[in-house]
Amino acid sequence: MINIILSALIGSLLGVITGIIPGVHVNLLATIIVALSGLYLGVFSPLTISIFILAIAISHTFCKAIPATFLGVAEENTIFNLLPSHKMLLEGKGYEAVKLTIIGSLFGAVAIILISPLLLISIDKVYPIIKNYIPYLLIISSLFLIYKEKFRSWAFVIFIISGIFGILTFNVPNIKEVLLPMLSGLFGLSSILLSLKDKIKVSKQEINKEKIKDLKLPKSIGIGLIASLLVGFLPGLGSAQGAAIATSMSKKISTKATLVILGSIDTIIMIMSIIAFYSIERARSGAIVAITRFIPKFDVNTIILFMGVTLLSAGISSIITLYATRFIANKISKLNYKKIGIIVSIFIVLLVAIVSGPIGLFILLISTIIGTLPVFFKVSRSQLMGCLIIPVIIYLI
Amino acid sequence: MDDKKLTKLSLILSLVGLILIYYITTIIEVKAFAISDIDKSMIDRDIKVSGEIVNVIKTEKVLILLVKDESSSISVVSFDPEEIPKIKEGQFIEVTGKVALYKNKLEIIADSINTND
Repeated sequence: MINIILSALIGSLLGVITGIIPGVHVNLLATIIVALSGLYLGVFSPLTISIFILAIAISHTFCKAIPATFLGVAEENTIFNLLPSHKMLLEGKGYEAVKLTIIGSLFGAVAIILISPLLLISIDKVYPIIKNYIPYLLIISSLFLIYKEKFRSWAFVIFIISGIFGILTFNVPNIKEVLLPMLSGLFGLSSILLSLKDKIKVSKQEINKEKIKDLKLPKSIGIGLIASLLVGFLPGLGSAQGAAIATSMSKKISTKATLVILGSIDTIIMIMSIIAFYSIERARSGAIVAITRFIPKFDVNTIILFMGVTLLSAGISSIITLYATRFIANKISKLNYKKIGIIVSIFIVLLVAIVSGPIGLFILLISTIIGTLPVFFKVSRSQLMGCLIIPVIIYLI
Repeated sequence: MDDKKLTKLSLILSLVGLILIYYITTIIEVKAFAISDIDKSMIDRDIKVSGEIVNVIKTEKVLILLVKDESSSISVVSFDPEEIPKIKEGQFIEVTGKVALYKNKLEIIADSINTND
């Protein structure tokens, strides 16, 4: 038992540290852990290693908001945090933005664990039925978002361009981590490059330890849970698509509530991937793929143990992330944001070059150009979500 | 929700997680294995083996038994040598303990040793 608790604690701590480093994805860490398993498998048990990976994966979902908020570097679902959290950062509320995602992650973890017994017994029967309605929900919500725009025709055009770009990109063969160049360009590099021409000065960050109002916690967690349930068991879909659906579902609610929703999704989907592997024997996340290399089959005891580790890791990670955010928030206003923007841009390009190769760089170039279109045509950048939504609709119809 | 409440909630969840881990590790039944089935992938795992004692080394601090079943043999180490004072070769025992690697050889660190006497 001591080994299990220690590996969960060390995994949580390591997860927060690596999660703060921009661009370090949990799948990368899981791959490294599996690749090096020959070195330590004689010393640690497969169960201990699996718990270590799970703790890293859970803690990553808590602290990913830090680079997304303070550096404008995001991955998968945190890409959708960029607008609300960046807005809050410029208002001096970067700490509060991260805290909101932590609240979302924490309550999301509790919510999914509470309903997990129900999912475990019903998901293989109910899911094929629900699956049929998802594309229609996506079509309606996308049309609604376009209708709400001032320049509807341009919004429609950008949504379709993003969709075609998404379809083409997903069909590129032999490319690793295709979402990395695609989303980094659309939502990350494009906005960083555009911001370089402005004189952005990050104001002194306020560390608000008081109660945050206007959270609408039950509603926000409910939306996060529904969006995650809609995509979490489907092959090829994950937190990015869940965030896209949730963002379209939650257009009318506040920035704060949006961050709570986005925070919840990644954690919920990570926990759901444990349930998915037990119920339908499909690994729906990189971390679960890595874990199944050590434990090829889960039983009920494994699930209960993993839920215990998840709660332990969630609690520890939220505290560490909160402290780390306070530290970073105190330092960020002293830094030259333009320089950070340039460094982060170079970092993104290098990361894409290393992970996805030359084709990845080409995708990054195109996605960065498409990412600037909403600014020039004065439409919401959420129309760029077409890159995920249209391929999902086509995949499901 | 303020920071104090968030921290308290996080600590409560961690505690619930710890209780869940404790509960499940105590109820997971320790499985019995033939000695030849024990391999390096089982290191750190609690298992149960039964067999005949073929050699006994006893010091003040440690008891090392070589236990043999139909398939193979393995060393069983107990750090509580007084637990079974009258242990001797030829006895049949059931050992519950953790698989460990010592000097590149697998052994069992015993939690309990039951004789058939």
